[in-house]
Amino acid sequence: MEIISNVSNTNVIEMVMIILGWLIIVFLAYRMYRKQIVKPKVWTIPLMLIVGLFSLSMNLKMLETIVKVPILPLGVWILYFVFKGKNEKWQTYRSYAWLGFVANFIFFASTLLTIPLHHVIYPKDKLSVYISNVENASIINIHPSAKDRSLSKVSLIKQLDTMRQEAIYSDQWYNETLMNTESNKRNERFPYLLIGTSSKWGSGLHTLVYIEDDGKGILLSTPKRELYFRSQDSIMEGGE
Amino acid sequence: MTKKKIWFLGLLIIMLSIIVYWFYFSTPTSFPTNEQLVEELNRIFPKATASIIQDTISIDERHVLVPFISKKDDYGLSYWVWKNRKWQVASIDTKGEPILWKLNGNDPSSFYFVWNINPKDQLSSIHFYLIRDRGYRIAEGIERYYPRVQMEKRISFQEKSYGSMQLPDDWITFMNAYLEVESAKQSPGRNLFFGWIPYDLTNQQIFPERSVNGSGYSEGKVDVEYVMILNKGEIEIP
Repeated sequence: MEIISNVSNTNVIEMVMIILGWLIIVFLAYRMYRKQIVKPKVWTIPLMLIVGLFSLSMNLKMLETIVKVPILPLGVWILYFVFKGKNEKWQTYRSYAWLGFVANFIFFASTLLTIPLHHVIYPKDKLSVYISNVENASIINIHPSAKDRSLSKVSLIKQLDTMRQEAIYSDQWYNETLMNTESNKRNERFPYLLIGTSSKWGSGLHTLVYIEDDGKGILLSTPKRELYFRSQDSIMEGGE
Repeated sequence: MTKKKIWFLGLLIIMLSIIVYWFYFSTPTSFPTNEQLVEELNRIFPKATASIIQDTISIDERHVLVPFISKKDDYGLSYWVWKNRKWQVASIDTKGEPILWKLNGNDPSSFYFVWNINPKDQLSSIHFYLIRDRGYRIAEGIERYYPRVQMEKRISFQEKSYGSMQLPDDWITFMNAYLEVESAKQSPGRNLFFGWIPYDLTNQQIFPERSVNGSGYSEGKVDVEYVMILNKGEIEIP
């Protein structure tokens, strides 16, 4: 059970792309090895690759994700100094060290591919991507203005695909809540939290799901952004 | 000769692992007597001037809370942990205002409020709070609204003015969900905090003068979080 829930929380696309990247590197190393006349000891090749991988890189923010762009081949330089004066040996190892540095670009490219692919497979504006398994869902009250109500799973499931995304008026919500009443009589606009749901398998998305006081609004809070959805009917029952 | 050496080495490894196991994973022995506790408290932190042990509260197999009264008539707390085959004092507070003791790092289900209120402060109840302030943020075209989280748990005092309490279930549920999203952020932060409000017999908020501003000893590895005294006015009661 533990393992299954862990897997369901990992970003499967990212994982697959990393594995793919390594397969390409291994394949390239194998081709180099076959072409060489003076062959190095096999166990030294991974070592050269890993040291070669070591580089100075620049962090770039792209589509809300930080990607690493390699700049300086530090690992290759280190190996160059290690093999200084042993020119023949360096000749056999050099290409693997550089392949290690090139691997940085392979991973960089795989990240560039992962981001749009992830967006296509898990559309970021679909509620059903964030709330996919409703079986064990329930709500908890996170503010005293919440009433004693419970989740209507039937209503939630029925409306998952039809809820409309709407704009977040963050400052307006904040100011309305603050101004309408004296300081200690305030109602929270989102006094409930939906728990026990999980995001779509393999998406690796983590979300806090707040529910609006009228039961018709869902505020999703992910590490990168917030999304707001409205439904026709309330997804809660009881209370009032 | 070599065969002998291998045998010897194997035996050594087995012996070592038994010793390590016995040292780190053995189940705790019986807890020290009250006299031993007083002696140890005063040896480690003479300022504690412990004189009476009020109780020993076992929180789990390896963590025990010991409220005590000092010679100056202060009500203090000592935190005992089973480590390296010994019951050790992890921390001492000379006054017992509530504090959050985190037994196991980031796992909210291992968080306990602990307190030892001076009876002269005449509290009749404590309200504990878990709060995240309401807020909003607009940056780079991305709008965020943070709903206020305010969860409450009331403790009323009958005969004992000391005790411990695990975080309520719904607090744990909320914190787990919150921490999961927070830790997936590129720059994780934490805006949750814990608070408490003391009430007297007439249900008025009072300031528990004799239970706050104590001094303390801590061996460094003990994980506690400060619990702030809140004002009744800061609490939303719709």
